[in-house]
Amino acid sequence: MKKSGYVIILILLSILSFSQVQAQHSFTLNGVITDAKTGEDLIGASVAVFESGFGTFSNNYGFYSLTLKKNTYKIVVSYIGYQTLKKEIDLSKNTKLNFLLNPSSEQLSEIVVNPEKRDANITSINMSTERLNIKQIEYIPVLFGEKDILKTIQLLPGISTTSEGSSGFSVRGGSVDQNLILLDEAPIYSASHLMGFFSVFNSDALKDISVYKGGIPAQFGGRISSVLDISMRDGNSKKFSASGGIGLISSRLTMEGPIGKNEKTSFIVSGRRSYADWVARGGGFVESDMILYFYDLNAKINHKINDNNRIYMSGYLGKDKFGYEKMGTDWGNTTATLRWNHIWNSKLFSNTTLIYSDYDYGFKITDEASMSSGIEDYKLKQDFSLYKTPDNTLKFGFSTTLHIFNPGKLILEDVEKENLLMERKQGLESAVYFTNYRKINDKLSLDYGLRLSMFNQFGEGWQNTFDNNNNKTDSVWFNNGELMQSYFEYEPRMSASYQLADNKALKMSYNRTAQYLHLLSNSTSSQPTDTWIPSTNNIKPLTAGQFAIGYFQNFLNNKYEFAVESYYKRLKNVTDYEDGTDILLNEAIESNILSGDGRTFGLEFLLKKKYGKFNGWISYTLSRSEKKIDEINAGKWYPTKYDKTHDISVVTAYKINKRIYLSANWVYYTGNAVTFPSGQYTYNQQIFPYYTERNGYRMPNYHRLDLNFHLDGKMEKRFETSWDFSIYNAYNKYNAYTIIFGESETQTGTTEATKFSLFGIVPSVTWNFNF
Amino acid sequence: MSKIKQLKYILFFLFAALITSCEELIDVELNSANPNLVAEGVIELGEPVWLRLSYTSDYFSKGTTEFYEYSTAVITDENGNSEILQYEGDGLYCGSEILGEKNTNYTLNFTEGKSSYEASSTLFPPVAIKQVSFNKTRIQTLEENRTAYKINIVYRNNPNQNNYYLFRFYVDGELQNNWYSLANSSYYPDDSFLVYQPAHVYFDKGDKVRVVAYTLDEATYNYYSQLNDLLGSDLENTSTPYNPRSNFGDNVLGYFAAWSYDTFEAEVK
Repeated sequence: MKKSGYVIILILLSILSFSQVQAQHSFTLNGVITDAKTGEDLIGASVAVFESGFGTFSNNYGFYSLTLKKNTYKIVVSYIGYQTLKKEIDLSKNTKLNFLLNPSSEQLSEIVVNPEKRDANITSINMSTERLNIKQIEYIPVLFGEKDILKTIQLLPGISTTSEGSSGFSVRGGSVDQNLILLDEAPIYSASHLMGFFSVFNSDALKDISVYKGGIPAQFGGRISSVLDISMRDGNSKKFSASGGIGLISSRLTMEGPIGKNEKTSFIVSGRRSYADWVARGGGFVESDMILYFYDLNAKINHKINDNNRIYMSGYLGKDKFGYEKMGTDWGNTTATLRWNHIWNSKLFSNTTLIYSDYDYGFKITDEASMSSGIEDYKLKQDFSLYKTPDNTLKFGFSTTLHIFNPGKLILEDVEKENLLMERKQGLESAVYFTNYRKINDKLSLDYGLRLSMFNQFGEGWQNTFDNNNNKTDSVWFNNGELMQSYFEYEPRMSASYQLADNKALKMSYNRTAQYLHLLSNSTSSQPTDTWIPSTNNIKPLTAGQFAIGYFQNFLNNKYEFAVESYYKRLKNVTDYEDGTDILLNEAIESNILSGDGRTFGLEFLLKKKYGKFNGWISYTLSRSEKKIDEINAGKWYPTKYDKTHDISVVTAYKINKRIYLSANWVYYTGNAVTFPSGQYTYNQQIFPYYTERNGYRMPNYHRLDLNFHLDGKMEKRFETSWDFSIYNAYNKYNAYTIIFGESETQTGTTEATKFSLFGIVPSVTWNFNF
Repeated sequence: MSKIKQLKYILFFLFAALITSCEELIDVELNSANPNLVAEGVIELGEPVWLRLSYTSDYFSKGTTEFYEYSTAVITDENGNSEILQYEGDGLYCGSEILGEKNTNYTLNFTEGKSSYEASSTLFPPVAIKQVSFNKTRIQTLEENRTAYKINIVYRNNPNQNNYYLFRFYVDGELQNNWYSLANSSYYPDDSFLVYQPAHVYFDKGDKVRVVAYTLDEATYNYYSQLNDLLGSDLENTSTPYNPRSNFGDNVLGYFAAWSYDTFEAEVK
C-alpha cells in the first residue's frame, strides 16, 4: 500500500513538472461561459480557434482554459441551442475572458435534443457515455405526465428498466446498486418515490445529466456498473422567475432569482408534492385514513466571491409516506453539498466539496413498535484540473467518505420487551486518482488514469465468522475506531479514440472498478426497504473489469449519428442469497450471502437524428448478464434478474410549429429471467410448486407505445403557459408485472398461472407555467 | 419480526391494489421436472405416527399422484423404542404402538430403493388457549368494502419451553386460509398471557370459529415459515422462490413434524 502511494505521487509529480516545461512561450485564455439570459454556467460549451479547430470544452462549472502560442486568434464559442459567439483575441499575455451566450431563436422552430457540439460524438474521446440536457427530457412522454430523467435514460442503449414503470435501472446487465447516482456530487442511495414509480429527481431543478456506462473516468468510484452524474441548476442571476406545473397526481413549483443587485449571488428553490392519496380517497378507493404521498425540495444558492472564487451550497430533501394513521412506512433522502471553486491560475482549477448524504426508512407497526434502517455519509472531496495545453489535460484529486450503516433496529415501547438492534457499522472509503488526457495527433487521443481505493471497516462491533452450515464459529469484539477489516483495490482507467475521418471514429476503453457497499434486496427494482451494508470479513468487495470497443459515424452534415459498441465485463464477488434468506432485520445475514463470479456482454446500436423539426433515436441492445455461484444451480452459469436478450427503444419528436409538438416512444424488450416451478407436489393437503433452478424462465416479452401532445401558450405574454397531454401505453397492452402460480380457488386440486399487470392505458394532463 | 414482514406485504398489496389494472389466467409453458420424492410425516400428542410417500408431478398435471409403496419406515423415540410402520395404500405408512408423548424427540427413517432417509422432531406440550374474542373492522379495497371481524387469541406463554406456534382457523369445518399463521414468543420469557392478532384473517358475524393452536419445535416453525414464503413468493419484494428445506435432507421434499395442539371454539357476535 505504501509503495503504491509513492508510485502515484511520483507519477503526479512527473506529469506536473512536464507541464511546466511545456508551457513556456505560450499564454492561456481562460474564463467562464454562461447563459446571457439567466447567468447559468454552461457545461460542455466549446471554445475553439476558428482557423484550426483547436479547442476545449467548459467543465461542470462553466470554466474553460485554452493555452496557445502567442498570436492573434479568432475564437469561436458555441453551445447547441445558443447563438455562436466569435471574438478576435490578441493573445500576448495570459487573458481572462468570460463569455455570455444568448439562446438561439432557431430552437423555437426545431427540437434540440443534444447540447453538445454537433460532432462531439466523433471528436470526443468519450464512449459508452451519454449527456442529456434537461430540455431533451421535456419531449419524452412518461407515466402520469411526470418528466423523469431516470425513465429517459432507460431509453438509451445498454440501460434498461428493472420493471414496469420503475425508476430503477440496470446498466449493461448490472444490478440497481451498482449505479452511482450523484446529485451535485452527493450520492443518492434510493432514487425512487412511490415504490419506484417516480424518481426523486425533479427535472425543473436540474441542469445537466451525464451517464457513464463504461470508460468511467478515474474521478468516479465506488460503484462498478455506471455513474449518473446530475447537476442542479444554479438559479437565475439576472432576474426573478418562477415556473411550475399542475398534474393529475402531483404538482411542482420552482422559484429562482438573484440576491442583491450585483448578480454575484443567485438562488433556486424547487418543490414537488404528490396527492395520489387525495385522489384515491376522493374516489373512494381507499380508507379515509390512508396516507400515500411524497414531497421533495431542491434548493441551491451560489455566490461569486471574486473572479477566482465561487461557492455553491445545495441540498435535497425528499420524503415518502405510505400507510395509515397508526401504521405505515416512510423513507427519504437528505443531501447537502458545499463546494468551493478556486481558480489558482489560468490553467489550474480546483473544486473542494463537503458532502452529507442520508437515506433512511422506517416502519411504524403499531403505537408500540417501530423499525428503522438507513445509511449516512460524510464526505470530503478535492479535485484539480490542470489544462496544460489544448491537447493535454490532467485531472487529479482525492476523496474520503465516512459511511455509517444502520442495517435496522426494532424498537418496542414496552421497556420489559427486548428491542432488536442490528449492529451499527461504519467504514471509511478513500481514494486518490489521476487521469491524463492527451491528444497524440490529429487522429489519436488517449485518456489514461488510475484510481487507488481503500475501504476500512471500523469498530465498534462484532466481527463474526461462520462455517459452511452458517453456524457462528467465532466472534471478536472491536472497540470504537479500531480497524476491523481493510481492503485495497487498484482501478486503472483507459480510453482511446482514433478518428478515421472527419465523421468517423473508432474508440475503445477499459476500466476496472471496485465497490465496497452492497445492497440487500430481494426485488428486481429498487425498493425503499432495501438495506445497504459494507464489505466485511464475510462480504468481499465487488470488482469489475470492463472492455468496450465502438465505431461511431455521422451522416449528412452531422444530422444523423450512428454508434455501435460492444462490451465484455467480468465481475468478481457478485452476490446472491441462499434459499429463503430474509433480508429484513436478519442478524446473520452475512452468512446467508453467497458469492461468485459474474459476466455481462453485449452489442449496442444507436441511430440518432439530432436536429430539425423531426428527430429522435432508435436504440437496440443485444446482451447477456450471468452469475456463477457454487451453491446455486449446481454451480453453472445462470442469468441474473437483469438479463434481457433484446431491448429496443424508438424515441421520436416532431415540432409541427413554434407552439406544438408531438412525441412518441415505443419500447420492446425480452422478459426478465425469473424462477418458475417445473413441478408440483402435495403437502398438508395443499399443492406446492416444485422449483428446479433459479432464474430458469422468462417473463413474457414487453412492449408499449407512449404518446405526448405539447401545446405552448402564446409566446408574447410575460406569463408563459403550456399543456402536455400524454398517453402511457397507448394501445393498452397489459404487460405482465408478475405471474403468480397457485392452486385454483374455484377448482380444488388444480393449479393455474395468473398474470398481474399494473397499467393499461394511462392518460394524463399537465399544465405548466413560467413567468 | 414477522409482524414487520407482514406489514411489508400489507403495504405492497395495498399499493399494488391501488394501481393494479388487470389480472388474468394465462397459459405458461413449463418444463417437466424429473419426479422427486415427497415425504410427509406427523406424530401428534397421544396419536401414532403416519408417513405418506409420493412423487412430484408436472405443474399443470391433473392426473393422480404417484405414490411409493415399497418403503420400510421405522419410528424411534429418544428412549430407544421403535416400531415398523405398516403400509396402508396410497403411499400411506402408519404406526400403532408408539404414541406421541410430551417433551420427547422422535426419529423417522424410511427407504426408497437403496436410499434411506431420516428426520427428527420434538413434541412439546400444547399451548393453553384461554380466550378468543373478535374486533369489528372494515375491509376496504378495490374488490370489497364490508364490515368484518378480526380475531384476538389469548394464550398462556410457557417460559420453560420453546414457544413456537401455528394457528389454523375453521368455520363450519372449512379451513379459512391457505397460509400458516405463525407466532413465537421468544421475546416474552415470563408465563403471562399473550395476545395474538393474526393479519389478513377475517370473519363474518355469526361465524362459528374453531381455532387450532399447534405447538411446534423451532425447526418445524422454520419449515412452515418457508412454506409461507412459498405461498406468497411470486410477488415483487419477496425472496426468490425456492423449495423449503426438508429435515429428510436435500433430495427429499416435505417434512416430519411432531406437535401437539389445543382447540377453542367461539362465535362471532
